Amino acid sequence: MSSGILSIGITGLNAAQLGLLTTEHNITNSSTPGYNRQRIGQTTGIAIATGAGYVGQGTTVNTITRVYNSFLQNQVNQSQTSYSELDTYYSQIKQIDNLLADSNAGLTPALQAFFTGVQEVASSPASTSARQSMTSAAQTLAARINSLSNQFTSLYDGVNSQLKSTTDEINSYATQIGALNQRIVVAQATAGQPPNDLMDQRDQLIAELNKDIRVSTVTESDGSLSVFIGSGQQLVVGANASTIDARPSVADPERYTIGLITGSGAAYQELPENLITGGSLSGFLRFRSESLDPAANSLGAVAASLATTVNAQQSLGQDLLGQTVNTAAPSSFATQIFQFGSNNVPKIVPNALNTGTGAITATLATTPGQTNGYAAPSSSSTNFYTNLTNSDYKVTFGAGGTYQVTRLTDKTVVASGTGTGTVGFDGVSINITATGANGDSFTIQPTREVAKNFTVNAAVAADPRLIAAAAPVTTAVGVNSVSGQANSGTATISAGSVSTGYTTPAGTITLTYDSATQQFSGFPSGANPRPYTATGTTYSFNGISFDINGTPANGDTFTIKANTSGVSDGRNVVLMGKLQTQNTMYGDSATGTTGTSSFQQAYSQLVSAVGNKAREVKTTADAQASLLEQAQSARDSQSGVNLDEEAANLLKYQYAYQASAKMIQVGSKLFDTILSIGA
Amino acid sequence: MRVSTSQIYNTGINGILRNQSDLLTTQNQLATGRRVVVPSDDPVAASRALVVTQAQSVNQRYITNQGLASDSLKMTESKLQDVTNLVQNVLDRVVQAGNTSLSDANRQQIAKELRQRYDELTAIANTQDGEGNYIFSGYKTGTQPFPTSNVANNPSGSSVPGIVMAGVATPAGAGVYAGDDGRRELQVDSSRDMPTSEPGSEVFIQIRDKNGNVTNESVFTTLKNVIENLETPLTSANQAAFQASYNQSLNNLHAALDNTTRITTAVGARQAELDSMGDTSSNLSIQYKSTLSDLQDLDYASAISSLSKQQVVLSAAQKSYVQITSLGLFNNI
Repeated sequence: MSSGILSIGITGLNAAQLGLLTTEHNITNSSTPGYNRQRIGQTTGIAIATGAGYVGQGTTVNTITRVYNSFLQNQVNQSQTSYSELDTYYSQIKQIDNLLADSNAGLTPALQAFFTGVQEVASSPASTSARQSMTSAAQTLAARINSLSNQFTSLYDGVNSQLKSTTDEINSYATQIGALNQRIVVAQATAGQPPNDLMDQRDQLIAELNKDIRVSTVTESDGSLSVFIGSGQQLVVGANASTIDARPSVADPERYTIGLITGSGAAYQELPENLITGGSLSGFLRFRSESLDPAANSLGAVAASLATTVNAQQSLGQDLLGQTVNTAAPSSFATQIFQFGSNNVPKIVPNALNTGTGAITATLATTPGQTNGYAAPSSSSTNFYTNLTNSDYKVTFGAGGTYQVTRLTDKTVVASGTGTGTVGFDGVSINITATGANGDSFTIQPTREVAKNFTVNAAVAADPRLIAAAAPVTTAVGVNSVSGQANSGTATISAGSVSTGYTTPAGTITLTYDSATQQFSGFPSGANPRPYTATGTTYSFNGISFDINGTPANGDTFTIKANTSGVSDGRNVVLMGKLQTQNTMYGDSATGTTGTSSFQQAYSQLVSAVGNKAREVKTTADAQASLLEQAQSARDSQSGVNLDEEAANLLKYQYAYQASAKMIQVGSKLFDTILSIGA
Repeated sequence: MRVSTSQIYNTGINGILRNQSDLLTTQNQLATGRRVVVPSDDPVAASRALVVTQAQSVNQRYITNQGLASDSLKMTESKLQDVTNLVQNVLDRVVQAGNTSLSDANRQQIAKELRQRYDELTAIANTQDGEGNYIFSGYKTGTQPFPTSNVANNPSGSSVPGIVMAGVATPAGAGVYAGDDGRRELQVDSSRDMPTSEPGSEVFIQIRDKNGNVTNESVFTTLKNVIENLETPLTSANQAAFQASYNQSLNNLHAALDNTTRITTAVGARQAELDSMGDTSSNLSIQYKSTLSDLQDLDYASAISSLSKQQVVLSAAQKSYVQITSLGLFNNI
């Protein structure tokens, strides 16, 4: 009987002790990440049947469990992985956002300064100091474009190295999870009790893993946890962890992409980017493809369009040395003010897995084979513009030398064909010099590296006299062929302009009016004579155009000749200055649409696109952050340690312990009483 | 609801961090004076602001070009005025010389004065601007358009060269206009390229009378003819020829005056056009400034009001954090 008293008291002492230990464990771990509070599972001891009924045998602690709700934890993980993705995205895009519209570092001020420089030359073409200030402004503009491009490059490099370090982190988590799986299986089998703290650690690792990449988990019957990424690629199964790695992609070695090695000895397998969802890994990948690529390409498109249209206008002019594009060698005439890379060509990257010997070259051009990269004005009312887009392109070879060209932004096939030859699309002309094997592909990036390589033609920078401010032809009122005196009619001739492919008149071209037939004769090419029946008639030959107005007398002549010593002629540079406000970009050769956007508009579209995206990501990230907080709150309110509660438990178990001890003391006293009877 | 201790801490800290972030944003706005600090603050306003900035800068350039065009036109106008005065003066003297009571000596005296005028006219026609560019040589501003003359110091009766356009043979020995017909132009508005110069060929060579007919004689050649006519001693034999040449010269001088007036009027009209453009451009400039300000600038009153609100909220969050976290059963055991 009294031994019963002692033994029941001891069960109470033991239970209270376990209660105290668990409470202390809770208190000390109240701020341990991933810790779920634990409690003892206390039940009554097995009662002994007596004649008087079942006599209780005290208490027993079956197990110590953690208060854990896998559904709530899973919600935290899901919210966390989305939040990490958006947060990473935002931290990256914020850098472009700050960069682009900065009133000092953005493109806008440099672009405006360049065109102000052009206008300086227009206002005093003969002044070398005005020309010097234009080339200086051009160099500043080039430096600004380079610096923006450098920032983009460092973001690309940053993404590459972040992908690498994030995959390293994922691998470390995966290995630790594998190791924990093993220990948990063993611990569970040995003790038959849940190894709470190991399971907390494993759950915490899963939570950390979700910050890097979204994972799904399955608990196996032996207590181990299998972890999957993407569309079910295994990351951890039992004790075995796969290796995830960031390596240069086969399509473009400058671009790291994610791949998986599923076991030792297995080959590295690239994962399509759209399989990687959630976590910072996806944040980096999405930032690169959704924001950085378009931004870099559209800066490149602005730079390429600026260079080609300004160069096109430059080619139509005459420099201060009197040279034009038609000047016979030796000539130092500069057809280019701006250059990007050698020969201004797009970047072509063959796929690393290509098996054939296919080869492609490319140029920026409107029509196949053309090398100057701009669309010539179709009439005097339009202007130079380019058809370049912000997209990259992929050339894929099929069987028998067939190929097709896909625009990557909208996955549209823009060209296709068979065999070698040139083909044009979107302001780009490619020349397939050798066809590739079936399945081979090439990536074409028409504008990606333009901004990086953008420079001012060194010849022009060194000698600003090479800026072609003047027009190459002049017109004049001539001498009446009948009287030998000045023209006697009132007709006048306009200053004249030239278009691409013009030829400079060798000597003086004289047009003579015959009042009997109402015709001008003397045209060196095309119809001759040509009728003059209305004032304001426009005549063109050999790429030279001019108007005649008013009433000529019989025998009146007009002359057209090369512009000599016209040092203050700014006709060409005035046209160059007008490019600033004309629609010089985003024409479409497929629909015949002329330019739809000015340089500045194109750039502000870029700023607006980045700004909108940054805002969208920030807003979504904020929303996701509060979802995450709610999920964490829901979990913590169930599983988190409350110190007040633990303090109360401490007191509770302390009293329980004291009470049990008191029982033993009572039992001892009873014993003493019995013993004293015998004495 | 059960609350865990870490929840109390986290909620408190998160609240404080959020408030601090809001406060930082407001402070940044106040420090820069801009509502849109980065494009994502208001992408539409940011991209519009860039377009307006360019429009403003282009407009500013037009204003500069209008100033340059105006300077250039003023110079031309003043020189044209000199030409008008000179031709008017010559005309007065020539009318005087037509008086039949004058002796050969009187006429030669007048002719001597006209020789001086001839040199003056050459000097005007070869005017250079501040940068050394000849203003009456079309595009060829580095080329002296008219040959330098020195007829005033030559004796009476010596020949005066006269000036013709290239390709015309008569009179023999005449100088040739070396400029071209180019009119220099500046873009002074989005749709206006304004001529800022007049070629010497229009002003001095191709003289049109008020009906637009060409006289076939440059002002120089007209002067030459007058001088040589007046210096020829009058006899009964050459009386008729003198009178014919005299009348012709008188007509041509009138035509020269008409020609100069016509060009001066055209130049003056351009000046007037520039003046009215200047007003429009200045108004536009003000408008762009105000548009930019509306797009980007901060409303200080509302920013300061939200700043003080955010301060109150932050300080409440901090105080409540301290008070709530200091509560605990352990303090009382």
